[in-house]
Amino acid sequence: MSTNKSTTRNFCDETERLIDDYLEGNISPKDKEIMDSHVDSCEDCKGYLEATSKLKLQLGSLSTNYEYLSSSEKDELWKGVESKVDFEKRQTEELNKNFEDPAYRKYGLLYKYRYYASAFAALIVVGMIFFAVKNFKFESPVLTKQDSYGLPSYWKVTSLSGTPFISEEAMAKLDSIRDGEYIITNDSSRAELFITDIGKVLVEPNTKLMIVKGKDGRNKLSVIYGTIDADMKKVQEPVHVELPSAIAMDDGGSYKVTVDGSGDGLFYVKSGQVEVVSGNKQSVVPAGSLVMTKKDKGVGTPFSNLSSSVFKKALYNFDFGNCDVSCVTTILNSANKNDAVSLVNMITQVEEQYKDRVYAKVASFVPPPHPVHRDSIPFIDEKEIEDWVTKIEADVQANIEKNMKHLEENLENLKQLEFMTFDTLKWADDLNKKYNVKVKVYDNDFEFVEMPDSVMVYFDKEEFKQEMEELNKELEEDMKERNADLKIEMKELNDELNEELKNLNEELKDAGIERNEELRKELDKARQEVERALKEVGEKVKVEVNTNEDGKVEVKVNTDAPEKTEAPEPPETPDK
Amino acid sequence: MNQQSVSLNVSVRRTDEDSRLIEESVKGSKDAFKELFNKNVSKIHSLCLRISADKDAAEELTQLVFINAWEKLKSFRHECKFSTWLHRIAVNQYLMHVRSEKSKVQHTEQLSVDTVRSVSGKSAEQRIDLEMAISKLPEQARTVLILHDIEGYKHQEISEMMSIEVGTSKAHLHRARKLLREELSK
Repeated sequence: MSTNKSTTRNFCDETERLIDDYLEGNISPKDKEIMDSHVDSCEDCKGYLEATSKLKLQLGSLSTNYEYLSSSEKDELWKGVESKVDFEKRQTEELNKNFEDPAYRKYGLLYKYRYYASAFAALIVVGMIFFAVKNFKFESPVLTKQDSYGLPSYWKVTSLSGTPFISEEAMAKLDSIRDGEYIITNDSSRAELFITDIGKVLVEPNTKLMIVKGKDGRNKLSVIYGTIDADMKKVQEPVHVELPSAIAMDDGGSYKVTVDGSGDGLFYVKSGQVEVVSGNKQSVVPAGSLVMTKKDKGVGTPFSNLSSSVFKKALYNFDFGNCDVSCVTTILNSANKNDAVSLVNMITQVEEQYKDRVYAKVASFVPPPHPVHRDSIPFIDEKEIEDWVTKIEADVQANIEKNMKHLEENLENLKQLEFMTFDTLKWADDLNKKYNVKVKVYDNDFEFVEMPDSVMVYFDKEEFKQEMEELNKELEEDMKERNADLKIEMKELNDELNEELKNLNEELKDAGIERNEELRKELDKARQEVERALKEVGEKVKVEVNTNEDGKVEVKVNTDAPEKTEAPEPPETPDK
Repeated sequence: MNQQSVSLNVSVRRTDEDSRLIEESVKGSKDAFKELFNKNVSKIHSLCLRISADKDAAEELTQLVFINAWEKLKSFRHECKFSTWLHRIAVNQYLMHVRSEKSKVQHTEQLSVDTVRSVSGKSAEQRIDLEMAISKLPEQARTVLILHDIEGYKHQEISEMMSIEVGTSKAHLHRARKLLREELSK
């Protein structure tokens, strides 16, 4: 008969489990008592306890045991820290944090730098004062105030460039001038004179312009030398301009006057009409005309800048030279419509025998406003001349406007032509060739007529193709890189897992082997004890120790009992 | 013999020098922080080397510790020593490192004897053997062993730091000690 008995757990297992807590002092008093008592009696557990305790001490001593790094090693590590830490950021934060003042919170940087700001502001103010004092004089009161004659006493003058002088003194930026004073400019200075309620006069470089009071008490501008550019309104009492040998009276308009060093002058009227008078000769100069003045000869006859040189030369002779009949004939023969003004002005100047010829010539260009009989021609007065000039001027103006309009139209056509034949057409052609796009060009516009279906028409196909190829290449390389990286990652992961598995297996194996060995020991022990016990009872015993598949240990104890000897049968008793 | 009990009032007084350096560092002084660095880098480096058992990782971790320390310096409340505070940062940094993807790559080389010698500080063979044995431990077991037996953390603290159960921490420690004993008995 065999019997199976289960093993008892080894008490040292519990000891091993509890020993850590025992060493930590984290054990219940009861368990501690058991442990103390067991350890005293178990060499293995005692040894284990001692070893663990010693190990603990050794490990504990490691905490204070370390090697100091060398300076270079520390520097290396510090470099790594330094490269990743923004030390300046905290310094800045701290600086800003210092200003806890509510005023700072409200005004921010302005409060922080208030002292600097104040100093800077003061500097600005001082600078402004200094600049003002340096550059501005006391300005005279209203310049429109009039003197006892009812005429302005002062006229404003401003310096436009350089340093013009007013009489002997350098003028301020904004100054004033009165009669008897003069403006002098050099080759780098210019000034502008404001004639109250009338106009302004630009004083060009190298000019001397004087303000003189006429006998009538009115101020005049006297050009001593140089050039002035006047722009005047039409007023009842205009300001006259005096030249060395003539005087000009404008009826509102703009003109330029130049007087050279010898006193000879040239008048050019840009707009309006100016009468230039010297002695008993008057020249009515309309816009676009010029007139010369000669110091000892007075004013000449106005002429147009479109006049022929032959005409001008002949006219000059008429005015300032010796002019006989051939001279007049030349004038008349070389005159064209542009010279009508000159001829009109000549009527009162030319000798009587020539008057009707001149009259007729002018009339052929522009009829007089009030035709006179031939006999009355010699008696034409200045007023009629003026009116005729005005009419000529109007006629010229009309022609100019007509021509301008025509010119503008031509210009427009030219622009369109340029647009069409140069830019747009070429562009349209390019589009067609390169991109197969048909464009219809209008006067000032264009329209796409035919476009390919593909929207890529706006790209250079070849270029685009190239770009696509390059992009594909890049993508391929990218993918390759990514795949390579992925492979590496997968391999690493695989290796890690294998390593883990390996370790786990080893651990299990260790644990298994250890467990098996321990078990075997236990079993041997148990078997020996049982055998011993059974021997004592004098029976033969056979102990079998088997380990089942599920790890359970089965111990069979077989006793070979001696063969039963049958008790002898009691003898048969006779029947009585 | 009469025994007299003496009670001492002990107040924790911060190292003046450290306090000054910390205050200046908080204000942004790079020099002050460098001085703190120089005072503590060796110990932190040793800890990182021991705990990671990887020379390169240890250097990286050491730098990270001080970078973190700079960033969090304002939050240091002087409730413990500055070195202790750095210690905790080091441990946290290592554990973060372990949890990150990169850390799953196990170090392929064990520490050389020279490296271990540098960690152990002295050339005592026993200590070298111990350090070598520690470096051979499985990662988690090694971490718990270092934190518990070397650095003095409690299981509760370790469990919180490593996000494991207290029982698991104890099991790791038990295993680590056992393996160490076996390694050292060879």
